[in-house]
Amino acid sequence: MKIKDLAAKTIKFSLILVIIGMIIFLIGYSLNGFKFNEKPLEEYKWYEVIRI
Amino acid sequence: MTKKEYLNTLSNEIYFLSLNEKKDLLDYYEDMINDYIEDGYSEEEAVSKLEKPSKIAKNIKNETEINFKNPVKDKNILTIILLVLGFPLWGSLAVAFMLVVFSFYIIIWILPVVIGSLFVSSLFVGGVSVIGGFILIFKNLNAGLIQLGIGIFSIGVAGILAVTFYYIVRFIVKITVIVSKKLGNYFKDKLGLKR
Repeated sequence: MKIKDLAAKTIKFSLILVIIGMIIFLIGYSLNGFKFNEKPLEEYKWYEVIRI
Repeated sequence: MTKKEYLNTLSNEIYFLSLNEKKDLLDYYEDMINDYIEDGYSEEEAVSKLEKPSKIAKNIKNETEINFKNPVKDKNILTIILLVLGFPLWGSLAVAFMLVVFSFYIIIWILPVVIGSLFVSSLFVGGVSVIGGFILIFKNLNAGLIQLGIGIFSIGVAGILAVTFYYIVRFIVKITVIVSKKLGNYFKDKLGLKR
């Protein structure tokens, strides 16, 4: 496979991931009432990467 | 001797000519051989009808009276003395100029470095967020979805950055090679190394 084809496929796949990510984020964000419920840092577990 | 061998030998013999002159001369002799072949001669016969490459080279040297000595060596003593005495001035200016050029070159590389760093960080954030997001979904659905979404989004951004990084690096390397070759040829011409 040529580099140009590979680059085009990567861009396509990446754009799909970006759109899917945005949709999932918006679903979560809307279910959460369009707000983040921040809590004290000590209460976050290791798998909670983003302060939501 | 075949046509190819003849032209190779001739090319080696006329090393003192510039690339364009060399190409013209080789094209000329190649045409002559082709003409003989068209007239019914074999390749070897056609080559044997021409002068020997060494003789051609010798004739060109005599005709053009090119000075084959390195011009740097031809500088007279006064010029050399002036160059040595003036070194503190032109030497520092030359060093300053080279450093400015080098700084610009480093600045050009900042763009791929920044894009590369963003790629690594996006990939890291994406990977960790997706793994954490799957675990978080079972504890808190909303937060899990938000984190998963951000993770997938980051991986997508990383993919775009990777392609951008590749093309920018390739472009800079290409430009560097072209500029280096041109500079190299320029200095070779100036120093008379080509002739």
